[in-house]
Amino acid sequence: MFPFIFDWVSDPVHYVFMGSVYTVLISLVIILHYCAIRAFLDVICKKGKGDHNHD
Amino acid sequence: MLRNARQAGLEPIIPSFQYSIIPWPRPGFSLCGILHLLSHQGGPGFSFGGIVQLLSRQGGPIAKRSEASFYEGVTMKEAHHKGHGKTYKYGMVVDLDKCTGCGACMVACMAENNLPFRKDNSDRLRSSLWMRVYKISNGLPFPDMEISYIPRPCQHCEGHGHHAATPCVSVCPACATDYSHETGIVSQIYTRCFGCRYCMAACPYHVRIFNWWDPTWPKGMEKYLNPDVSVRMRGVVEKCSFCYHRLQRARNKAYAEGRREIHEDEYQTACTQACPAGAITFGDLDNPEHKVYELKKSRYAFRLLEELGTNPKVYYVSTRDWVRKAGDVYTGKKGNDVMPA
Amino acid sequence: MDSASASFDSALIPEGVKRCKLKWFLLWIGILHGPVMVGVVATLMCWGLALNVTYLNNNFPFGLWIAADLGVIALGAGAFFTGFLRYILNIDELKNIVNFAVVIGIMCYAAAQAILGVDIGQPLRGWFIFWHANVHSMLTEVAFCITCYFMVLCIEYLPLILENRQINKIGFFHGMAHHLHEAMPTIAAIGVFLSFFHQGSLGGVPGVLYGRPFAFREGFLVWPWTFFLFILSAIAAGPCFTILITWITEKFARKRLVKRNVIDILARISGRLLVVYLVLKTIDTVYWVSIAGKVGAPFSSFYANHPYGYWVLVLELGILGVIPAIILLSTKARQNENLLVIACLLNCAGIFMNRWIMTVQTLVVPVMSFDKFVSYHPNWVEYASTLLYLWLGAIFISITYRYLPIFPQEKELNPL
Repeated sequence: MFPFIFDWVSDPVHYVFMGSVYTVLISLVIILHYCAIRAFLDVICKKGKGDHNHD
Repeated sequence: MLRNARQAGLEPIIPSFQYSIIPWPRPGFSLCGILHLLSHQGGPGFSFGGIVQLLSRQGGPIAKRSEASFYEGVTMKEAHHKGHGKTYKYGMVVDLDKCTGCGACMVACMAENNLPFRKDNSDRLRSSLWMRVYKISNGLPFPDMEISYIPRPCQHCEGHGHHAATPCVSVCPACATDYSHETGIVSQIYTRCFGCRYCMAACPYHVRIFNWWDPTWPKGMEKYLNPDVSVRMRGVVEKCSFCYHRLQRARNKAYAEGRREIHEDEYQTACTQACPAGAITFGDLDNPEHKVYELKKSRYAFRLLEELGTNPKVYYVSTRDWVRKAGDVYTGKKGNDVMPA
Repeated sequence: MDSASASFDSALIPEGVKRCKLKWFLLWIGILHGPVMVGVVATLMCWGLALNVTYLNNNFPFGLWIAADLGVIALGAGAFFTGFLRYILNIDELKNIVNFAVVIGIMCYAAAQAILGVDIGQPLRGWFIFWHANVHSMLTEVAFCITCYFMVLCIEYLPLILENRQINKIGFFHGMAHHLHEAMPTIAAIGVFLSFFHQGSLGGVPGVLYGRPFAFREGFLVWPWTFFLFILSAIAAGPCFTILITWITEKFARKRLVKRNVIDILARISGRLLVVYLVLKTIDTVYWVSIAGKVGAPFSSFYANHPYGYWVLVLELGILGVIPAIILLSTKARQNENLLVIACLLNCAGIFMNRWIMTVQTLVVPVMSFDKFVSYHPNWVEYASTLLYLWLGAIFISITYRYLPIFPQEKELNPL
């Protein structure tokens, strides 16, 4: 599952497959952190109470 | 009684690790190597080769010598996955005209491979049989009725062309089953299998069985278990391994004697040796010195479900036309009048 | 219905909407716990006593569980597809149902993963599918994609939790919910990417079995035709399941929660996709019949095993395919609520039947000429452990509906 660990197979299919998985996981982590940091900064800057128009 | 197959063996049991005088791991010993070994233990993958690979990480003299002797300059991994170096194609030829349906092969297989059984083992859909004998008839009334028996071990499919992989190997999500390009044997790693049973759905021969129960034996009988073959826990899939442990043992013996090749009679499966009619022949299908090489060329030889492209390594021989058609409904093409008896 | 203010938990109930009294709510949840307990016992039996407590056997390694797995994932496709229509294609009206589609999606995907956890023989080794991944196996692709997509669904569900009346008062959570809403198109795009792959891979599961002529299909690159058919059938049936569950929720809530025009958009799209699917499925069936015939397997041999006769084809493609397609395509019929619900029900049953056929009938058809036909039907353990997730889903939806603002049109449709 992880690169360079004993079960890792170095072939193109493996790179495409696991590459996609890690891209998705990293994207999700980045989005969550981005939102959390923005929310935290909003609170710090006292902007958190704005009336946002949600879907 | 159950030890007959063992007694019929060519040499006493020598667990593979005894030959491979393993020095105790030194500091700095590769953790990856240990993990690799652990991840394969218990299955046919726990092999002389595995130990060689472990030792080769240390660069010890034994490792270098043995790897050179068996793999001729290629690594075990290359030999296994890509078929580099000297390769074998172990297979079987079963003469159906000789088979009497006595079931000795099934019993020998059960004893050799530590197959569990229950008090009432009559439910064939849930019983553990690596080798199973099917009874078929031509469906004609007396006196034209004929019976034939088809012993069916794992077919060790190779696949070819569009289907370049064994049906069960390509679908296993956890790499718990593997096709060795070095030996032509489809292995099963019981400790890695988590029992999704996808491989069973993929196999058209029903050779794969699932352990629906914890394996148990009558009291005292556990002492007669074969120490070369691990007992499988419940919830995993298992199947015929062409008695792979016998190949390991034969290789260890050859190595100890400084030989590079093993003889035909040094590696024979339990069912082959147990068959009183001599219907089963086993050997390297690519080696002209082995009996199977000529037998498989018989004009009466066929394989089960050839048309599907599974490319099995078990050949059947029968001079009876209806039996050959029964073996492959897709080759018969005209439909079949075979009745499961 | 009583006023929300009368309930002990009224502070948690969204503003401007009515919910039943807490005691009735708890009674409802308590009633649901009855069948849940039966399911829990069945699950514990599978784990504790091994899978011999089921009617599965060596001829039928796949049974109700796998068919249900494939079925609920297809029905859960409403979540990603509604998200795709709302956030990628920008059909704005669907914002009024996309939240609920996510809730249904979570329910379906959690069920699929939990059922797999019971189905495998060694549940404690379930993680091997990730650790020792064989990337050439369709099941590996399914496992990775549904796990990742479940994470996506949880992230999509997160702002709904943060919008709970009390939680939303905290500045950080309020801001977090807002920013998650802003990021939703990106999250939905990731969800769409994952969903297309795993819906397809589920089709690949039977499609790659070249030892089973009933299921095997040729295809494009590494993907058999069933890969594409499964994606299409999932996006044709998923929205119908969303409509069906919304209708059931409305019946229980005894009020309208979503405007008819929103439902109509989903139904119309679902109908059109169903027609495309039926055409392609028919072409696939005809092509498969001709190919199988060439290698010596006559078409009749696939349907010669009672009870899996030709009626299977008629029911799957005709009654559960063509009839709902006609209803969903007709504007007049769609406007009739009863007809719409019947169409959705038939469509969902059709998808479930297709999944059953592709898993169980595949194993029913003997491949070796001397193989005997064996029938399979699930036992109570399999039924109970599968239906468990239906009851848990009902509890999940009930709690979500009571405490979270999932229906933006509820206030407008039901002024206090």
